[in-house]
Amino acid sequence: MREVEISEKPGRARGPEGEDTGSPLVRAKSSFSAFYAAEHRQVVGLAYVLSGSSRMAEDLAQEAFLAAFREWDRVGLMDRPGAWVRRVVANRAVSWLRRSRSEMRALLRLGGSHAVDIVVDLPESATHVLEAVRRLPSRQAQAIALHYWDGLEAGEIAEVLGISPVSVHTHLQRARKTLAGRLGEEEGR
Amino acid sequence: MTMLDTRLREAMQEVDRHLPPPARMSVEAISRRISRHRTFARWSAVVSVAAVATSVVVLIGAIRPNGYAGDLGPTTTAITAATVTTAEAATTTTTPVRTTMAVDSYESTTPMTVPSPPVSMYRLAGKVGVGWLTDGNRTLFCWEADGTDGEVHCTDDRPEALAVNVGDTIYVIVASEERPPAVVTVTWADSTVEQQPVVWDDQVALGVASFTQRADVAAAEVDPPMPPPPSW
Repeated sequence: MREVEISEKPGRARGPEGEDTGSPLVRAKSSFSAFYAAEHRQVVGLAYVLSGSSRMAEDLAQEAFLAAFREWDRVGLMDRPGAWVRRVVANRAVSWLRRSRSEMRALLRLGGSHAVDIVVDLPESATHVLEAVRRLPSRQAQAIALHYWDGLEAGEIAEVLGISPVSVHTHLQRARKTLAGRLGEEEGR
Repeated sequence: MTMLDTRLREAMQEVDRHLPPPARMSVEAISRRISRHRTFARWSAVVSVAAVATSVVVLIGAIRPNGYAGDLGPTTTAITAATVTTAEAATTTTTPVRTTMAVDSYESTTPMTVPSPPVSMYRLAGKVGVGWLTDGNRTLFCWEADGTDGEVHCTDDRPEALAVNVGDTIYVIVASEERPPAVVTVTWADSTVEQQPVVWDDQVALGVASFTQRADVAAAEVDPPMPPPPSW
């Protein structure tokens, strides 16, 4: 929904009065904290849109932020560390969803089940749309989520996913076509 | 903007509207949280692997009409629960707790009374393929929404966090390796009393008695007394 560009970098952190906030470690933590505060909700949302599990979305986001923190010397120097975190989350979210569905099928065959919580209390119409997005091929789902949730354009999505803008356009186009068919059928029922 | 664009944007707006507020966590808190979640994830993986490979995970299979006593209800899709007292504990129960949290996308916010300590009551209406699994530490509640093709939803939230509606079917679930003949007595908030027998599952040491929710639950007793299902 919102485009967020983060340019906080280690070494630039300043206190309220613009003073240097201390050692490199303190500055790095301060910088990361600002980054985290600015990005956390959007990243959790991205993970939720792709995974369908609010609990897992929190986990995925935290994992990604922790990874970013561990590599903050490098990630913090990037022009858009938010893109780096989004890539981690987007990839892990679709991987988790794929793995989760496989496990569900296996467990269901045995009469069992698997943990997928439903905590975000969305209207049914939104749930259907999001489920349709999650059933898309991974790249298409990621492109759709980054475009409609994060408000990113093709070039920015390309940066997040590490693919060309042309590929992004292709993924978005195919995704829209598939979604229009699925959601159109749903409406027609 | 196409209709599809509109629907996608509206769906994202709903996510935005329903997401929890931004967290304010320190780096140290993140680390602690990650550690905790990794433990959880490892545990989940163990449970999943165990279920598939060795059937260690115990399952009660699909709860369908004619499965356990009671009607699952035709259309309502909320999963709800209450926690009630054991016979042993009933005399010491004094403080009801009310909770109104709904767990799925359907509105279900009628308050319920939740005395403690627990035997657990559940309403599993409108679900097919409802089951739960436990490894002795945790229980998951899972359901396959009616009319969907294999879409399974689960929660490991404590069941008393779920809401109950008057008129819904409630299941009181008890655990016993011996599976003795047992009766559950529920006292409703309007002081009426109702008894139902425990129907034991064929495969696991869990049994269920079903009731139609009349009012908030004031108390429930299991005779003979039994411990609650593991680790709610």
